[in-house]
Amino acid sequence: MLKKLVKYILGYYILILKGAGADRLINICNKNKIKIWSITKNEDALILRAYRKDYKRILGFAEKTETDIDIMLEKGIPFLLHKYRKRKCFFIGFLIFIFLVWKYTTFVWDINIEGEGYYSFEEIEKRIKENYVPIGSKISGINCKWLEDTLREDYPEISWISCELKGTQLNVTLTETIRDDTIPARNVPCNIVASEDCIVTEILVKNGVAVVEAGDEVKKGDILITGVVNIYNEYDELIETNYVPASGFVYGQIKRSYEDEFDMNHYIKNYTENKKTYYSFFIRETVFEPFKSETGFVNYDVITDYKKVKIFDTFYIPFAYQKTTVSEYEPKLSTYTPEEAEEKAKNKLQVYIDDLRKKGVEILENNVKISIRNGKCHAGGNLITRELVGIPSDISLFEQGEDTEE
Amino acid sequence: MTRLTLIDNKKAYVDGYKSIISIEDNEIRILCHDRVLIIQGEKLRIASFTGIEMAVEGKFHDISWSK
Repeated sequence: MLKKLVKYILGYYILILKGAGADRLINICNKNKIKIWSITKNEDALILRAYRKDYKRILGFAEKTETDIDIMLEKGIPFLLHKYRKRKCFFIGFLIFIFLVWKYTTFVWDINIEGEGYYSFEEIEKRIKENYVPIGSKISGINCKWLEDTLREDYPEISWISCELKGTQLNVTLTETIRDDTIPARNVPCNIVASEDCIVTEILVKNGVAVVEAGDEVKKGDILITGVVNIYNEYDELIETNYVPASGFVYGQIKRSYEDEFDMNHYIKNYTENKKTYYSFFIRETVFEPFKSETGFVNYDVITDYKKVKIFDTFYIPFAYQKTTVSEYEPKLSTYTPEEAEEKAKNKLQVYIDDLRKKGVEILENNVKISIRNGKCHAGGNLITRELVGIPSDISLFEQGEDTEE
Repeated sequence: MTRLTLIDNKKAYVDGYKSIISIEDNEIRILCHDRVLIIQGEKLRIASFTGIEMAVEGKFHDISWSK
């Protein structure tokens, strides 16, 4: 491969030798250390390859051996340069382009994050860009090991992280710890109090003393597990009071009210055939919009498709382009049928329920009713849920003082 | 002394040859120390050669020496 490249850089001819002295010519070339290769016979002619610089010498020997010599092909960069000698600007531009591409491959132009769940992609990306590896940082100055350690410190939920440079892309792969539902542990004395009005369904104390038991109805802010631990002697006399960080699980049954309403009349978009597309170009943060023009549309949707330019899979360069399509539509007043309205209300409720479930809330009962009246669709009622209700709360001075006085 | 190295029936290295006698598509004759090396086959070509070593490629059918 390297030999072929050298030959291409230096330039070579494919020559046709004809005549009785062709074999002799080859031997003479060999004796005179003229490099020739790939010699084949084609009918009555010999075909061989020789460097451009040796051509004149070969021509001289060809005369001596009475051999006809013809150039079949010219290959290599010197011939290309000669052929396009009048297009110097093109070549200079091409060389500048190659140089810029090479230069830009020594910087980081993209950050890719995989494996995130609890932390969002944008959150981690923003932190890396603003604090550790700004876009356009020199690759040689990036310490992946240090970045891994720093991110692990910044995001305690990350259990494993790997930072790797691939081309001009910084790849961050991480695994988050499985979040448990325990109340966040505190190191200072605290109580566990109710976050909502509810009926306690389960209570498991890890540290502290339970104040309520399953079945008790509590109000928001009521103490569920206290961090004030009194120690009594055998005569029920208080001998010591300890203040501990209370912890444990407390599940409660909560009645959550749900209300939603929307108009039966709504606008639908009737897209016309009027559509305008233009491209924008980005060089780092600078935007060029040479083809942007006023659309004149009153009602329109804008759809953008942003793409970073890359060479191969991971060689991003600081250029990007965006295709913007502006589609005109005419708004048309329409009315939901009762079925459509009910479907829409159900979908909205389902989104609300799914959001709750993502937070670990269990739905025990769904008592939401959907009704249509006065041109509006109304969904109202309550959801009975089971969820964690205990949250840490500081022990008040009053509690401490009261206990101390005893 | 001439040394002939064969790789399957596709490539031959001739070390210590004197000169090329003839090149044909199906036969190449090479003058070695005191005898002629004859390589017969199909699509024969001299891939490369220096002052002392030559590489012949193609599909060899027969390789022989003659005085």
